[in-house]
Amino acid sequence: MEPVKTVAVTGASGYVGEAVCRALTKRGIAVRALSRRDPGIAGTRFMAYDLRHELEPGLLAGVDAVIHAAAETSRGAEPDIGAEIAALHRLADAAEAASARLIFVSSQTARSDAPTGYGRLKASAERIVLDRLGAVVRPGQVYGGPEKGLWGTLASVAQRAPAIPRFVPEPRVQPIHVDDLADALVVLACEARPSPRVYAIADSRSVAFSRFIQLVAIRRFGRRPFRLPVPLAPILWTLRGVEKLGVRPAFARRLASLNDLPALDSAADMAELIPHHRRFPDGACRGALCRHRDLIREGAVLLRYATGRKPGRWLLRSYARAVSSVGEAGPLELSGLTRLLPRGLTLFDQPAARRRNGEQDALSRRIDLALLLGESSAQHVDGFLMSSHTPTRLAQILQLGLALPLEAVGRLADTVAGPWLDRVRPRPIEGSDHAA
Amino acid sequence: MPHDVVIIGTGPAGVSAAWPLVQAGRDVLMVDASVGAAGVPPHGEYFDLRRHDGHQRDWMFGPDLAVWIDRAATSPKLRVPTLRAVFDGFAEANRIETVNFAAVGSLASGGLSNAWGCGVARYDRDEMSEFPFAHADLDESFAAVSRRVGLSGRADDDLSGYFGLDDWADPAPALDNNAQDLMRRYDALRAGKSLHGLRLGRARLALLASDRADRRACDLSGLCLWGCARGALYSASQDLPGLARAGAGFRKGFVADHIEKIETGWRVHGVERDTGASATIDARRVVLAAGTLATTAIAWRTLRHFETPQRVMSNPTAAFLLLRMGLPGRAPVAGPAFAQLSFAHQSAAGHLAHGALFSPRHLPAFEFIKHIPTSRSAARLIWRLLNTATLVGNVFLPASLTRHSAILGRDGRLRVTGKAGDDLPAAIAGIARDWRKAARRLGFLVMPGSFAMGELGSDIHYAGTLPMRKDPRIGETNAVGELAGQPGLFVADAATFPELSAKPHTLTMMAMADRLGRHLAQL
Repeated sequence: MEPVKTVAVTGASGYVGEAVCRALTKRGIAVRALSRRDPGIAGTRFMAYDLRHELEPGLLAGVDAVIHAAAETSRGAEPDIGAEIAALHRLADAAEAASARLIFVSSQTARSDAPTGYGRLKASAERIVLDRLGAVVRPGQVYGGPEKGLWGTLASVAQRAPAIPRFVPEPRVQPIHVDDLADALVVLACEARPSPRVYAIADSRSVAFSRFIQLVAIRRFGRRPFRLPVPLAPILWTLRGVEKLGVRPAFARRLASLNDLPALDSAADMAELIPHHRRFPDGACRGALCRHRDLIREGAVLLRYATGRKPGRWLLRSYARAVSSVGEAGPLELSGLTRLLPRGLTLFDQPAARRRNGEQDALSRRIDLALLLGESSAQHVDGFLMSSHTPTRLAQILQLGLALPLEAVGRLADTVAGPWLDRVRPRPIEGSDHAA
Repeated sequence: MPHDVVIIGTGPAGVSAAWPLVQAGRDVLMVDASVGAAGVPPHGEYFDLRRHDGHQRDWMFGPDLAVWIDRAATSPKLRVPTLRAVFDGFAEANRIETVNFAAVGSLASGGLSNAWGCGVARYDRDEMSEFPFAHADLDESFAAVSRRVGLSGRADDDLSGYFGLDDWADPAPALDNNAQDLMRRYDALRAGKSLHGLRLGRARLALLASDRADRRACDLSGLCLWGCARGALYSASQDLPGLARAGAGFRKGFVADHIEKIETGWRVHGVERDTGASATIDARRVVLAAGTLATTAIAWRTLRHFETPQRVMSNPTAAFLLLRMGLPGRAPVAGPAFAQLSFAHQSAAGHLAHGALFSPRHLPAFEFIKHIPTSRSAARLIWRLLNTATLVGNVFLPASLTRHSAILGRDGRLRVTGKAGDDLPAAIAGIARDWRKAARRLGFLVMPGSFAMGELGSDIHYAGTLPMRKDPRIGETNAVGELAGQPGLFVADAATFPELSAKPHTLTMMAMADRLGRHLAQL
């Protein structure tokens, strides 16, 4: 198989399309940005593309893969199914002519009996793509990045709504960060040999919809709107009554659609395509704030490891502020297990591991930073000085007794599997390559 | 009007040379390169501050935590924020470059004495055999300097004669448990003989044991590393207000570069440190007391002593840790942070090494944790348990074990290159071996991995570039410190030492500067 050099992205000015374009350019792949208006993404080549019109001849010439992320959104939940299907056929023909593989961005709502036309459209489109041996991606609730598309709407609700309706029973969503979704699409387009099937790309764990909005509000806007319980059944009943009168408000269908969202069984696909994806609400915040929050979370783990105690807020803020003094890199990529068990860092903190990874290694330097911050903090004094209070002193001695077996495990693991541990060693997120 | 005497440097040498001149009513101008105020040391008791001070990071580590992580080989003194102004800018301002050598100096008022360990001793007759004047010539000066500085540590022990200062020293402050134990067992064991070449005794220090008008006695605050807020540790800066009252003039922020002979005497050329503007000072006589390296650079530029490598002396160092046998895990209590005990070690080869023992619990734990060969998390727990059962030692070896050299480039930059003598590693290993044997008999254990050699030059005992000789040639000094062929140009600091013993040399240097001051006062 030839390596993939050029990828066309439809809907390049859209929420998902733009993220895909960026993910591709970051990997040094030539991108043809297909959309109605020029999204102006650095490093891409814009080509005019409108779903409703015939394709320009040669639009996909020389393209190795097509990621179809465009959708006609001006009509909301009730798209022009005929027009979209015709557009898809045109695109698939052109892709076949260029022998480019086709990856189609579908929706979690795709079902032939879906309450919305959008869901039914996606279901028919999926069948066409699969018939032509393309790959279909069903993303969960996409979040993060620029406030566009449905995410833009939800973010503005999270920013402004005084309260969030908490329907009973609660609809649940499976979040997926837009950059992770983009990574998954890029992997399908460039690396894996995709089989013609449906890939589910979403966190395998679901979160209640109102909680999703609330966490976005907390993370992104620093506010915590109240979740107001609203029984869903009477509303749906009423809406059904209204429907009998011949009116179908789009809002009602969306609500119904949300209510019977089929769960995505995504664990296997996620493990295959993007094993290191973010866990909601990581990345739900914006730029600098995101970095600060991630550093605070990192500080909680490292200070816990270095001082043996849960650090206070003030110390965490000091940590986030001081990190830049020991290196420019961004937050460390710490696994969920490390977050749960900071002591596990012993595995990466053996003297031999420090020597192998050099003096500029981010993890080693930040552990030292955490030690210095802990030592100069009155709250952590018991971590560094024996207490004159006898029970505390006995506990301090016991801590050493308990730490030594773990230390022995760490030493052994480093001796036996040092190089492997170096490969999975926590490193800064920025500048690290997901593919590596 | 030219000044009678201009003294370049307000450290221990400059101040010691100034006092006799000022007291004789001479017009003295003291010059240093300080700008801004000195750091403010913390007040209180160390462990109390550690437990209750919410802002301890400000004085303990300062905002730049990376220097603690990166500069592991140097003394923590060079990193503590309260002493930053003492060391900052020295090498750049004096145009000094180094290879394999730590060139530490000070532009601050009071110089390096703002940050010294306060170890004092008197060079004995043997150690001064190369010096071209009679040992007794310094008696008067030793007495004057010792009284002015305020010494303590007097004790009837094996090192009383070795230090030679007990006539002027107050009794020593109380020892902590570990040091007491070590001393008690040593006294019980030795019966007049040295223990594997080691002799132990109380450290003699420039530390006040009783209050004075402007300085207060040591209260065991444990904050020595960060500078003593009570002024119990001697610093030459404490002498400056008294000198000013006695009539000395001061000029700050002036970096001397070279000196020119003029009709009325000498003209010091330099720059204003904050503006970079050139400036000059005229005087009938000039005393260089800027610290050996800076003094050397100024003198060699004056003599146009270019491209001629010359020997630089300094004491190689090593550090070690003694662990007391027995149950560890005591809670730390207030106690002395200064050197409590001293030792002299005579090797089979005849080298005399000098050292001191401290309590490490008053130093940041990080300084020790980073050397423990486990993960940091376990190292912290280990050090927490052991630190109250340990003593940390430093060793200074004689300069004869080094081959450092310095050379002045035609661009006026002084380049210092550090080189250990071939016999240095063996000398350190010999001391380590003897300490291991002695420690066992004293109920202690030398921690494995100890006796790590320090970076060359990190002792900061630089000397011997303009050595005193009976018949000095160009680039050498006569018996009072006058540069050969340059009448009226004197050197008061350790640059004049013809030999550098392992013993603390500061007080001897001060006595020699005092003697120079007396000499000049009579001219």
